[in-house]
Amino acid sequence: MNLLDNIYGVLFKPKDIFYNFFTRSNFIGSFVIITFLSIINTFSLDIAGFLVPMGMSFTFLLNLVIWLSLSFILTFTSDILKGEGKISDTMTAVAYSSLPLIFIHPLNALSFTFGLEFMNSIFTPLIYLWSLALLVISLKYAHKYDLGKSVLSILGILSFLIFSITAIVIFVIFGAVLISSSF
Amino acid sequence: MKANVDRIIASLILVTCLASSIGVFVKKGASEKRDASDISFSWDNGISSKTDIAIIDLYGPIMYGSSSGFGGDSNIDANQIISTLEKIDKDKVKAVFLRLNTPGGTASASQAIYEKIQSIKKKSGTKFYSFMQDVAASGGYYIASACDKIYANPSTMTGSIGVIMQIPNYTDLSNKIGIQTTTIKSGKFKDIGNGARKMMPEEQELLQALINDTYNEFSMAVSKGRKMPIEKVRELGDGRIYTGNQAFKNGLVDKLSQEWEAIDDLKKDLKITGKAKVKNYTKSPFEKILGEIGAKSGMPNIDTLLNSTDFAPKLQKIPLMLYR
Repeated sequence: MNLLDNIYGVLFKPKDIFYNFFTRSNFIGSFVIITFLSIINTFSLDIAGFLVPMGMSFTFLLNLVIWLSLSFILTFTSDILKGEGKISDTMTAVAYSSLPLIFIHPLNALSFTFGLEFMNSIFTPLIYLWSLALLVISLKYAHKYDLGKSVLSILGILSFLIFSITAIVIFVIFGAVLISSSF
Repeated sequence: MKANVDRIIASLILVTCLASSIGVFVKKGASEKRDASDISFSWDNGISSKTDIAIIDLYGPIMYGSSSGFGGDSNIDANQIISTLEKIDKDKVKAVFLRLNTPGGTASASQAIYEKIQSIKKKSGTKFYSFMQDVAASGGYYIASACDKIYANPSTMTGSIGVIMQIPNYTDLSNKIGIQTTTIKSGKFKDIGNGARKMMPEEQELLQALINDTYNEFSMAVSKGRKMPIEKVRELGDGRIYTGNQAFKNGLVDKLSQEWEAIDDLKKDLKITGKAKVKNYTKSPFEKILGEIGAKSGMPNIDTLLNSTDFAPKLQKIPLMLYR
């Protein structure tokens, strides 16, 4: 299936497209999606004087790290929930689910050109919700489980994030206590 | 046919998103270029060439070590400021702009920063300007006096040139509740400042001599830094606080202005005609915490112990001399 067909399908017919979607060619296509997202994200970098090639490699690396870690955690939570998909399937699901995020850029352009900042605050959360909904649907098909488990595996990420933040906070507080008690 | 339409729509979406992203980037760049002509300095982004002006924020009480906890109040750690000054010197920065907002601190920490500034000025000819924000009193003024120029707001609180040591006495309270302290000491002054008994006149004399000596150091430093006769420093330095206005009239401050005017003056002093490259060298609270966790893996040295006000209440046998 053509990449453009996939993009159209994911954006507008997600329920139909994700069935039998997790193939080797679509896994390769997910790299193209991440690269494209990195390229357009580079231009939204708000750093004066930042060189474009440097920014591009930076955002590409950042996107890659986020993509890989998110996929890894999602595969882990899906495994716990007895999902059948592999990490490559999760990576494909995550990459294609991020597609709606490209709409943030025309939105930015509109708000920047016409001073319509309120559009950003209204539509950006909706775009993220759209992306989240796609992730729920795609994970359902990638791991061949029901929608509830798909939601649970995403909630697993949230608990992982909360756990990580708590661990960092405890680490910093412990460090600060260690410092003050050393006097 | 339907598939072709889908592909065209998908391509149009991708192209539109890419074009809008590039469009915003180009337009932002153009407007930044336009705005840049209105400002006289730019922030150093770390990629460009040498920094002209380094900014250091001195916010909080001055001491050795840090008393900051996670999310808590922070202080000025003399060790960190000294290493920052060394880095600035190594980076061959033309000038340093100190932003002060401090009520003062320990004598040795303030003195150490003062001496470091003086030595860099002497060694590298770096210009030092200071701007006093809400408060720059006592130890804060000590540090400012090392600078070539001192700027302040008319309503900044400054002055308080002097040294103070306070030792609480709880003899009457101890007697009332029946607490007695037995002191075993190696010398007659070893428990000087013991709050459980009245202070002896000779102890008071000894402590007064310490205070006088430290005050002498302070007034000499101000006299040297401000190029002001020592008699005048002593006359002004009776511990009183001044507003920026009063300090200016008394010659303790060079100019009453706002921060950006002070930076503009510094730029003129450096003979920079275009935009000056400004970089803030102050460590973020996170960097400070990380730095400390690393540094505290070993034992703290005795100077750090003796000079930390945080530590002082725990060691009541060591009265602290403070510039505050």
